[in-house]
Amino acid sequence: MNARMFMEAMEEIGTAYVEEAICYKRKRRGSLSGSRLWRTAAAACLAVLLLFGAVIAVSPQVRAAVLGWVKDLSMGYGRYYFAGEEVPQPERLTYRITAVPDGYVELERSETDFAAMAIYCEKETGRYLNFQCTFGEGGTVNVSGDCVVTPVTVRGLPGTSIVPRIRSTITAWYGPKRICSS
Amino acid sequence: MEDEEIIDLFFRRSEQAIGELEAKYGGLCHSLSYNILGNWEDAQECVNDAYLGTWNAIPPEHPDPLAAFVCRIVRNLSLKRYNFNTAVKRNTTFDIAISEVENCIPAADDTESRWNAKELAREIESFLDTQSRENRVIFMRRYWFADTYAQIGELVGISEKNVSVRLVRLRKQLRAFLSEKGVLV
Repeated sequence: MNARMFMEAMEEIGTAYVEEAICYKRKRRGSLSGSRLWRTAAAACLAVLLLFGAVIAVSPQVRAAVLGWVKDLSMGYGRYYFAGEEVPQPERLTYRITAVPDGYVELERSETDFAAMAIYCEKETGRYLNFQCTFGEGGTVNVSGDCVVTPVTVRGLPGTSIVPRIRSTITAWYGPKRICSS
Repeated sequence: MEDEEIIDLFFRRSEQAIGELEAKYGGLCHSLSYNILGNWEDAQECVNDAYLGTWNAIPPEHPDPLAAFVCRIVRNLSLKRYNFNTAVKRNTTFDIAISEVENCIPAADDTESRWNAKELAREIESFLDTQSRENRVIFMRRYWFADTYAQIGELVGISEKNVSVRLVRLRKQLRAFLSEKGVLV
């Protein structure tokens, strides 16, 4: 009769408890509360980041596009950083001047492991042609002013040409591991 | 219609009061009675008797809240009918609810001299006061209204399994509570 006693006791339970059970309305679980909204937004951001990371890891094209050139402008100079895919290349890439305009003669030439330089002069007009090539490894090139950046191929190797928009005698290009300017 | 207006109809001895009572609380009363009896015909009879009982009680009674007042009458009448029917079969939701609390209350021989239903009710109320509102509702819907787990789950917004787990915990806590109070020896 234990249960019977319990049920008899339940008959004597106060009206307030009965009323509470009758009038109970469950909390709305459909609406987003403030903290829940933030949690949902954070979860969505995390999902997007993970998806983005997965795409970068899987697709070389996307990876190259994302890890390509980054331009940093400061103090009137444009600094270009490159951290893309490394392209295999010969141990030593040699640039040679194969032709100069008529009338120009070589005035000076020097070449080290890190840079090469050649100056040509036309005696009649006094004009100079100054060729310089720096073998940089840092992935950085400094060019003043706004530049046009276009992909180029130098002796079959991919590179990037950086030409200032303002008329200038300096042209720089960036190969997989070297920076050259003339 | 507001409860106060229905009560006013009872006081004016208007038969519309029964219709309004049925419209507002008919579903609740039928559900309560059916959960105890497991038979729609018996439940219908008990609810009709409850309406008659309400008609006779108001006036002079002026219940507040009205729903709990009517439900209490329905429950009492349904339990009387249940006791009458019990000898025949035991397979209603109420039977199952009763069987769940078998171990919560000591045998009558041990406690009848010291505890009566009213005293036990006060202890159960004290226990309910220690619980969250949601747990109180779950407990009352199960052991007062004899609702099924599915009905409680729908009302509270949780799964049937969750209702079951919560009721198991509540019964354990009730047993420990009553033990502390000396109801269980």
